[in-house]
Formats: sequence, structure tokens, C-alpha cells
Amino acid sequence: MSAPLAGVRVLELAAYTTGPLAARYLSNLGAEVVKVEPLKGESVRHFAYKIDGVSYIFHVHNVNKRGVAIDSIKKRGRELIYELVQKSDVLIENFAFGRMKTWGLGYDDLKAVNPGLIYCSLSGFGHDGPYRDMRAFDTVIQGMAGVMSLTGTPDSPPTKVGVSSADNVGAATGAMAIMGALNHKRRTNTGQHINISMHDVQGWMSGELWAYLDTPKELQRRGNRHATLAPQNLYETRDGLIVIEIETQKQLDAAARLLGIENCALPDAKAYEATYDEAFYQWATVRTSDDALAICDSLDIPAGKVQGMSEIAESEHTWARNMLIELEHVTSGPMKLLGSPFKSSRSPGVVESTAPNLGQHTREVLSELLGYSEADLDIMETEGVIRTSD
Amino acid sequence: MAVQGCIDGTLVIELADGWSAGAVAGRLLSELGARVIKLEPASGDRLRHIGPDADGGSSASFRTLNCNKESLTLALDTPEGRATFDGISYRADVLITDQTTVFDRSTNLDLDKFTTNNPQLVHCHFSPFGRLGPLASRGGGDLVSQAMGGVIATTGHPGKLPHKAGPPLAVHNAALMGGTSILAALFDRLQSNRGSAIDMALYDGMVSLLYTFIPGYFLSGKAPGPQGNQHPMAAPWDNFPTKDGWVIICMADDRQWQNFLNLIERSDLADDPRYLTNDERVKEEIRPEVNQLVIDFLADKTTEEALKILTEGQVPAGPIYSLPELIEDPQFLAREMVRIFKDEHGRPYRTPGSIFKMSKTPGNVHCRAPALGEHNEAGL
Repeated sequence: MSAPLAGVRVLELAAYTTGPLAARYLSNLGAEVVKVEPLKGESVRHFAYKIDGVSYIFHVHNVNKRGVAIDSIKKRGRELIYELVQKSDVLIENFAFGRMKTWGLGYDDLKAVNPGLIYCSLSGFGHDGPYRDMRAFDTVIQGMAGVMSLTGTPDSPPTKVGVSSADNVGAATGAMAIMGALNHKRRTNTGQHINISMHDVQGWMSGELWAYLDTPKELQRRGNRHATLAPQNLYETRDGLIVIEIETQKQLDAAARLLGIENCALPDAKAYEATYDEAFYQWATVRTSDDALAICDSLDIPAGKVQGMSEIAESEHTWARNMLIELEHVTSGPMKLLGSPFKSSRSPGVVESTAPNLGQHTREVLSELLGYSEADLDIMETEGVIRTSD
Repeated sequence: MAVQGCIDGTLVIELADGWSAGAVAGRLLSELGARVIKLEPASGDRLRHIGPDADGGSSASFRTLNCNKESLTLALDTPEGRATFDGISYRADVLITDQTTVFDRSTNLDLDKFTTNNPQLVHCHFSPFGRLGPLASRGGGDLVSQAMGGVIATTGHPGKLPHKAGPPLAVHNAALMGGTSILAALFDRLQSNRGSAIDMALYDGMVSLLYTFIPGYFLSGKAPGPQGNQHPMAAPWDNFPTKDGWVIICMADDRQWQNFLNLIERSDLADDPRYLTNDERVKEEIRPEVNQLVIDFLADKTTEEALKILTEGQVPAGPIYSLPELIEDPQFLAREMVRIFKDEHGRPYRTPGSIFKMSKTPGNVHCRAPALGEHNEAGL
């Protein structure tokens, strides 16, 4: 077996989530990722949930990567970045619009250094349009893209998605766009600039509801119900919460049989939503979640538990699919980390090394890729251009 | 001149009904230049018959999702239909299948045979729990995946029943991850000449989003409930009331906190050790205090006034838009994220533009959704 991106080198100049996560996804597909950090370390190192002084989240985002610490604001540091760019296929950055340019690291600067470079910018609103200079974080994006207005119940305030939807889906969009550009590059040997906006992506996610744009009263948040399909909802059981999700006529017929309700055509079921809801509510409330799910399963009615972190972390399925794995960190010991969602007959997904300590691979990468001697590196370290781990 | 796509000439066959990850992935690949042929039953994809405007044979939802695609009707439950399908999958570069669709159409497809018959084929199967593991054959779509994958448990307000992400997060996230996998396989194939079988689980996609919650659980042993609109690791961060609505404010780092103190003219707090670092501000006993400073600042301001001041003061903030507001938002329009087409009956409708803004091979939404069987005559 051979990971599909074997031989592809990605240079990551990024912080927080979107950029580092997009780079990690490419590493799961077999790309070699070199993460460039400032001498003080990338911001997420200093976030909460620390293990030996480094945030657990940093460890999750940065598996598989080699880490180099370079002061890219110094002229010599910038030259090192240029040299690394010459050796790279892809660069990922997620700084506020304009920052990379002020450091001499904008797309035009780096295209001059490596015309075949795929340069992926991930930002809140993109590199064009009236909001390109606005600062943005996940919740701001969720709010401005309509996601919060659609999430929650009619009597609750607009609500964000608990997970960082804008960051996460933005990262996946970056990964897919880069993969498209890599295909183009392998076909034509040319690079390009990718300009992803988290705001675009969150707005795109609501496309299913654009059908109701001409009937705006229907565009209200509706708890766990679906805009067009029924029955779909969350129900309390004797010992927890389950959801039931009907999407096809066969599933609807099975639900009607189970509940003793006269069946109807799938497009008409929405009109009987209250009846189905009440029947499922009564049905679920006298059963345990496990019993309810076993019955649904036997009848091919899609259903699931509302799993919290403990259920997911302890679930045999999570581990069987290698979505949680344990790796040995060189100084912090065994560590449970997220696995790769990319599974194919050619590669099960690459998760092979823990996140780098700050500057852990500075010497290795700069000597291996750029041919610097130990003496050169000593001088650069003394001058504060690079940092190597102690 | 036609826009150049990065995978021009790639033939994708899509067996994925409804607003499913497979159907969304098909649309995304079409934007990048693939020719996507949607295989529909004689009665049409079920999405054609659901929701607004369903009477004309292609509902508003179907039209929105299936731009760029061709429609071919095929009875998979007949020997002739099966033979045609086998022939098509032998010629295709990419085959997309969706578990719910495969079950619904009673196809009894042998999912393993496609890449055996055509070793160069990239076959991506989308399912809620994947093809391997104890839950492998379980059914479900977006809601079940959000529930099992931890999104519902963490969305909502403390002390109340949790709820799903309004938009189909599990579906769109898996479509992007599956699309990424497919493109990686095509990239590999350009050199190796080998295809691959991809096992894309919506559940895996959801677990991938838990990078804040899973570490928190492993370190503390505590499972977080609904988060409200606060961030577990940053403060102040919430949806705060104004005189006439809401404003979202997110301070993730200490510089933004100092910017905020400047705005409210409380430089006396600039060195206050209780508030100095984010690590301090997120503490259970401190968070309400910093939130109160924000609430007091907003009490006499409208959302518009507050946003102007916060934005100029370099504090990340934003309004809450409804979908009608989103599609008139100047930024969204400037990025060409609202496209208008006319359906086969001449009715205008909107669909999202491409999220792939690329300088050489921009994602391209170029054609309305097909009428049922519109491409039967042309065939392949």
C-alpha cells in the first residue's frame, strides 16, 4: 500500500485551527508537512488543556508534522522561508489578509521564488470583497453566514454549533481545493493561489434551506426537526436521548408499522409531523436507549444515540475505525489522538508521529532540505533567526 | 472560452439520492471540472419530490443541489439496468455510492466488485458508520451522524435539551472529506495508474471535529454538555445582547482583550492579574466578570453602533444574519456565492456559487440542474 500523497511536500505557515488542520489532513493522505513556527511557538501551544506546558489541542492538530522554528520577520529568516518554498509543492497559511504580504511572503512574492507553488490562503472572509480586512473567529463566521440563525429552537436565541464548524469545514474545504490544485499541477506543472473564505463555506452549508428563501418564515431554526422531511427529531428515552431520522419511503413505512400509524407518501409526511412526533415520544419514553435502537435497527429505521464525549471516547466503533489512536510522545508519554478520516484500499490513513516540540526538527529539516551545516545553523541560532530544541 | 477545471475530462458516476454526502460530493467535483452523471430511478431522485416547488418534477432543493450534473434514468433492479450500470462503472473514472440510496433502491450491489472489475476506478462509498467496525451496517444520515458524532451533545444551551447544527453539517463535512479522498486517489492514479476503494464514514468526519472536546474529556474525565455560545477555552466569547438585537464578540487572545479595554476606557484593568491572560479569563469564577464588562458596554448601543466601534477597535465581532440577509450580504455577493439559474420550466432559482476560489482553475457552477432523464438520449 502506498499513501496517495507520498512525495508531496507541504509547508505550513499557520496558526490556530484552519491552516494546521488542513495541513494535517494532507499528512493523513501521506504528504510530508513541515510546520514553520515563530520562535515563541504557534499560538495553540499556549491554549488550554496543557500537557507538560503544551496544549493537548496542539498535539491533536499537529501529528505527523516536522516542526521548524524560524523568525520569518528577520531578513535572514525570510530568506530561509524562500528556500523552503523552493523545495515545496504546497504552502498553507491562515493569517489575517495582508499579513503574509507585509512579511514579504504574499503569493506574488513566493510565486516569483517557485512558480509551481500551490499557495492556499484560508481566511475568515477571503482575500477580496469589502470584508477582507475584518478580523474573524469561528463564532463570528457562524453568525454572519446564517448558521446560528438556523441552529437552536424557535424560543432560544440564535445558537452556534458546539464544535467549531467554520474552522473545521473551512479546513476540509482547503484540503479539497489543494487536492484539486495538485491534480492540475501533476497534469500541467503549474501552481496557483487558492483563496478560501470560511464565510463562503458556512453560507454554502445552508444550501438545503435556500429552497425556502422565498418563504422566509420557514427559515426559522427548528430544533432537531428537518425543514422538509418527517419524522426526524430527538426523543427522551428512559435513560438518555436518541434521534430518529426518516429519509426514504421504505423507512417511513417501517416507522408507520412500528407506531401503528396509517402510512402516507414521503412528501406528505411533513403534514403529519406532530402525529409522528407524539407517537415516537410516547414510544421512546418507556424504553431504554439501547432497547429503542435495537428495535429501530431490526426494522431498518435509522436511529442513533446522542453520544457525549465519554460514549464516543469509549466506543468500540471509534477505536475499530482508528478515529482514536494512541501514540507515544517522546517526552510526554502515551497520548490519545484523533485518527484519519481518509480510508482507502491504497492507504488506511497516515497517523505515525506525534506533534513536534518547538524547533524539534529545525536542524534536521534545514540541513536535509537546504544543506546547511551545523556551523551555519549555530550562527543562525545565535543571531536569533532560528530556534532548535534543547 | 470555457473555464479550465483542475480535473477536466474526469467522468464521475453518482448513485446518491437526497441531500446526501455523495450527492454534495458529486456537485463539488463537477465544479472542479468533472462530468458528473447522476443515475436516477424512473421515478426520480426522491429529493425531486420533497419541499417547495415539488410539483414540477424538480423541487427547489433538488435544483439547488444538482447544478452542473447530467441525469440518466436507470432501473437498477432489472437485469438490463444492471448490465448498463456495470458497463458505465467500467468506463468511469470515479463512482460515488451512498448507503441509504443503495438500500433504498434494493440494488443488492456488491460494493467490492467495482474496483475489482475496473482496477483504475476510484470508488467512494459514503455511509454513516463506514464499511468496517461494529456499527458498520447501521443506517442514518445527517441527524444520526450528528447525534452519534458528538455535535448534538455539545450544541444548545446549558440545562436544556441539546440540538443539531441547523445546516446539514455531517453531510457537507463528509462530502468535502470524501471529495478530498477522491481527488487524492485521482492524483495517485495519474502516476500509479491504480484506482482505489474509499470508505468514507460520516461518523469519522464528525469525530474529526472533536479536537477541543476529546482532549478536555481525556484530561478532566468530564464530558461537556451544550456549550451555549461561549467558547470553552476563550473569554469573553459569546452572543451578547444589544439595545436592538445581538452581537457576537470573540476575544481569543490577550491583545484583543487589551484592545477592548482601550475601547471601554478601562486602562485601569490593563494590568489586573485576574484578567491579564486568557487562561485567567476562562476560569469559571472570572468569566462572568469579563462578560459583565461587555454587557455593560453594550447596554446603551444598537448592534450597528456596537459593531462599528468594535471593528474599528480591532475586537473580532459580527452580527447574526438570517439566510435572506446572507444572500444580500455585500461580501457574499462580491465573492459570487449567489448564482441564479432558470430551471427546465424557466423558473429562476438561486444556488450557492463555488467555494473553490482558485486563480487558475476556479470552481465553476455553469449549468442548471437536469430534468429527470434529460441526458438519456445522449447517453455516454
